Amino acid sequence: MTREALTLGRPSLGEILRAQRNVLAALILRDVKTRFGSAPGFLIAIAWPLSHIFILVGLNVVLGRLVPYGESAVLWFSVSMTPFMIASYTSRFMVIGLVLNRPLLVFPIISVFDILLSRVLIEMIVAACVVCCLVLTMLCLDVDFMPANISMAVAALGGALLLGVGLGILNAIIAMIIPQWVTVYSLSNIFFWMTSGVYFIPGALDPQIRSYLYFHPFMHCTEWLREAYFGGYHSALLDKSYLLGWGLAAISSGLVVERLLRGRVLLA
Amino acid sequence: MNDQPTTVSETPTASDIVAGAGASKGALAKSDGGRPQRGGGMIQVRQGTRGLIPAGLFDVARKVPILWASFILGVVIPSLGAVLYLAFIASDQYVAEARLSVRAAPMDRTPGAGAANALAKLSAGALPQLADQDAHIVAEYLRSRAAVEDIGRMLDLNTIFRRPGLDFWARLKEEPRAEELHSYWSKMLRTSVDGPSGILTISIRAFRPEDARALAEACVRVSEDLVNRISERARTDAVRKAEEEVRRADGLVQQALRDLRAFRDKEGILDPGAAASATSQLLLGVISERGKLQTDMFVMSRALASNAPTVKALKDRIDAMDSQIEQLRGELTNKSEQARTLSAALVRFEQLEIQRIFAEKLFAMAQGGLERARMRAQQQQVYLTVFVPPYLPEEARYPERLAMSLVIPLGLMVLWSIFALTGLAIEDHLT
Repeated sequence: MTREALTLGRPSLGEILRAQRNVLAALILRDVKTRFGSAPGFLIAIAWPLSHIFILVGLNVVLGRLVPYGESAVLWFSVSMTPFMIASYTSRFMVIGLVLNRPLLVFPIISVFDILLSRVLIEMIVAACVVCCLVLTMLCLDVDFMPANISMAVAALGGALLLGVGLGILNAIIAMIIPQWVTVYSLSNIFFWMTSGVYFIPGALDPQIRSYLYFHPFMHCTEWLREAYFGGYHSALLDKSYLLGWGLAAISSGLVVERLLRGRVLLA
Repeated sequence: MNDQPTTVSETPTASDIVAGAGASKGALAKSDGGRPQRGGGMIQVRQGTRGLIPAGLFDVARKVPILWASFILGVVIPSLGAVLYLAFIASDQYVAEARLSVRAAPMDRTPGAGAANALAKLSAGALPQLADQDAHIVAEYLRSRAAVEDIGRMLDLNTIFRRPGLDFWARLKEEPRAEELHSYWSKMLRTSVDGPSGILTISIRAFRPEDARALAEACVRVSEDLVNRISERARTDAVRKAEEEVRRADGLVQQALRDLRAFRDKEGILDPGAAASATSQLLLGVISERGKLQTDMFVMSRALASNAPTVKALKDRIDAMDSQIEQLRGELTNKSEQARTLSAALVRFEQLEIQRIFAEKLFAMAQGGLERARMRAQQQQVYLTVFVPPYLPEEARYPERLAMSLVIPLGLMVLWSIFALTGLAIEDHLT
């Protein structure tokens, strides 16, 4: 079809978009059907981060850790963990997705960008499902899950997703160049998890540590959603523009690196 | 708008580099046939669209001019505008800063409470401590509309933020509504509470150094008022309860004393106990006297006739004493018909006495409680200590002309590159 379009003259905007849509649809469909062996197996993709959150929240609630804000321990820990989980799982699955789908790059019409974009769409759906499941769970547990500021909560989740996508693109490209990077990145997520302020309140720390922690993009995700959820919570460190800058800069640099290295490393 | 095509055509080499880099790499990887055709298209378009607005946004053949046009429209022009604004239009903004700490006198330091505190601290991890709670309250208040209104009573914010000659972007809009003034205020005000130390930093921006300092001073003053209100309230609340208690105990004491006096007035005795012991002493004396007389009489009745005058006199005295004894006994206990005896009075008196003692104890306790409450209130007192008073800024810290002139183009570049690279990637499907 593409050859046809070229030989016949300039392809129209509609044709280009249709081609893009077809590629994306094919990639998404393939991913959904094959990621865990079968189509229903795709539910595992949702269950994975969800059960991760459930187990950690349950553990902390059972251990009876004190909750500094709000009345519900379940709500506090869910709110603290969800942004990190969204960002982390999105980026990691994007990295893994690109590595797994690498053979598809043999087809000229499929580019690295297509695989990444299909992953972004899938991960957005997964993130939405995870959030819905959490909300449903809270509904069942009779926890008041309404945030103090709904639009801000949605923006915070969007920020987490943006960071996830940015880190996903950048790290996926790096993983194409250095295959070991997948392991390195996955392991470093544990470090990010511990330092992202899920288990502590960054504002209550030493100024020295705070000044280092400020540069932690995941920490801003956590603080953003907390601030949206708990009316009295004022983060001393939250800088939304820094988080958005991280996400956008990561996306941009990922795309630039991909374009610069195209044909040299990526298909090697 | 007319310059735009000429700018594009003047720098064709640069555009070739930007778009060509991606295109050539893509072509290398994928199809070889695409490149020459595409290059031809580009030249064709450049000749064809001179002075025209490009028709299709994603048209492959017009890719390069569109890239450039979007770059100029999305990055160069806004950046230029921002830089020009920052360089020539933006008014200087001065920052005045004040640092305060809200100090509470230390709480009760009994050893048990200390251990419990330490435990609570351990289990709570790095939770914010109670100490900086008050600082948070002050910070929250300064950000609130109430503070804007309180400060508005001291200074005219509308003139301060709308001085003549201020730039259109940074100044307060005309005739602002309360919400708009509040949001403008929160833009100009920065408060931060230092976690462990509880130091509150207030920094406020204004367009004149004196204004900035005046605003910072107003902030400090309203914060001071707020803190005083808080501690006043805490003090009165704690003490009022104790004072009520003291008043009630005092009433009880007064009542008991009144009852006692009424009883004494009615009975005519100050202390039935003392009265009884006096009576019994008297009785004892009379009894012993009578015993002596009886012995005398016994001896005399042996020597004298029973109707001898001495014996008679003795007998009379003994009889008199008998009746006296009888009377005294009756006074003490209720053997006689006399309704009010000393023993009954004693019981009643003791009841009243106990009531009085009880009321007095209660009163003493209440007074102790009041004293403690006063002390605790004194301890709970919150002070605002301004250890860095607002100074007069001499150098304008905002807007950060150089930094923003770099950050804005950079940010726009990042955004544009995402869109441009996405567009190019989508187009790649047709190469």
